[in-house]
Amino acid sequence: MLDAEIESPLQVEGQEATLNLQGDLTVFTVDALKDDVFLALNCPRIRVSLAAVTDIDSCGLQLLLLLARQAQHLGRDFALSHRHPEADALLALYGLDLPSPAAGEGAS
Amino acid sequence: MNNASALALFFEEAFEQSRLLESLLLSLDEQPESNAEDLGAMFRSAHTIKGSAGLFGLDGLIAFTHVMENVLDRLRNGKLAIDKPLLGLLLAGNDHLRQMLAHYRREPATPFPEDVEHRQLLAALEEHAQFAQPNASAPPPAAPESAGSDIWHLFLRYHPDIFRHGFDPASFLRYLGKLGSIVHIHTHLAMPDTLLALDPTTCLLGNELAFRSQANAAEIAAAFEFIRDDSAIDILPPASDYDAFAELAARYGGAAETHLARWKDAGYLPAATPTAPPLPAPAPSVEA
Repeated sequence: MLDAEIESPLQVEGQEATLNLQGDLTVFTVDALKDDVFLALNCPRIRVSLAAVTDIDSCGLQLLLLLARQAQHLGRDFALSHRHPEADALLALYGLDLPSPAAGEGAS
Repeated sequence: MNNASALALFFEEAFEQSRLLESLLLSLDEQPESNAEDLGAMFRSAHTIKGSAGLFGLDGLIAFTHVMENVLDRLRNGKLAIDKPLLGLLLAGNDHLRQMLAHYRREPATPFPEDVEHRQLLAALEEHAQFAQPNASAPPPAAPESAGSDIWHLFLRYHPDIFRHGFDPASFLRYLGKLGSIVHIHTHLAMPDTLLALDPTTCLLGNELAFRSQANAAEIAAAFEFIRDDSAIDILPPASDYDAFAELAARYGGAAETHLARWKDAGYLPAATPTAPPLPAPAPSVEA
């Protein structure tokens, strides 16, 4: 993995886009994140880590939902590699879910 | 504006509302007559504090202001008369509210210590409050048929600007959880034509839910007080008939048949014939 120039949460390796979202995922941050988040749609395989997320609101969740829905529409393989309890609670409140990787896939 | 400054702004406004409430309470004392306007303003002050506290999940504050608000609501509606002891109680309650605000400003994540004074005040206020009385202001239009049913259906089409206005639909859903239980929820995401040009702070979410509650229509509607001017909030009371759903579907936007089919699948829809039993509510749907 690259350690330098980590300003962008998006890393692309071969067929896989990895989004390591960090800090707040809220109405205050989605605008700065959206380009990287939607850029991930260019890859056949998209993995999103919420491990380093500090706060999430419905606007932040909506950004993830848009990504997931568009990924599905484009036939991409989308999954959350690392979940987040607050995000899961919010998803449950809305009666929604986002996929985890298939069993056996190494969380990277 | 980040979360910390939003919280700071909340406290600034909450203290201001509390000061307003105090001055209105004190002016009531001098002018017992013709104070309908002030009673309305007092209710709104408490309601505003409670609503904003809900946005930040300050549960202790929400619970206390909820009781204050309820008493002020009953005063406003003439269900309760103001007298010296009640006035003193409300002033003490308002003082206590400020202590709670000061506590949560220092330590937003720590519950307020509910000491003897707190419990006594709350108990005294609760004696003047009245919760979940179905005979209050807004009677459901079609109640009598199935007396056992207490399932409401809520249709929430949020205005695109609500995130930008500082609201989060999740806070309304959590608030509903205090009035009853959400037995089914459907979340709609309106996909834009292109993601490239999207302002991601635009709210594209909508909710439809089955909600079991003993609360009355006014109490449930009050959950949406802050957004109902802009957002489309429709609430069908328990035992609403098929025609009520059909009428809603017709003005919902898009094809009415699609909405009715979705509501039928979710178990919301009563049969078109009045004698059929209500359908059981299914598990939450997944759409993402």
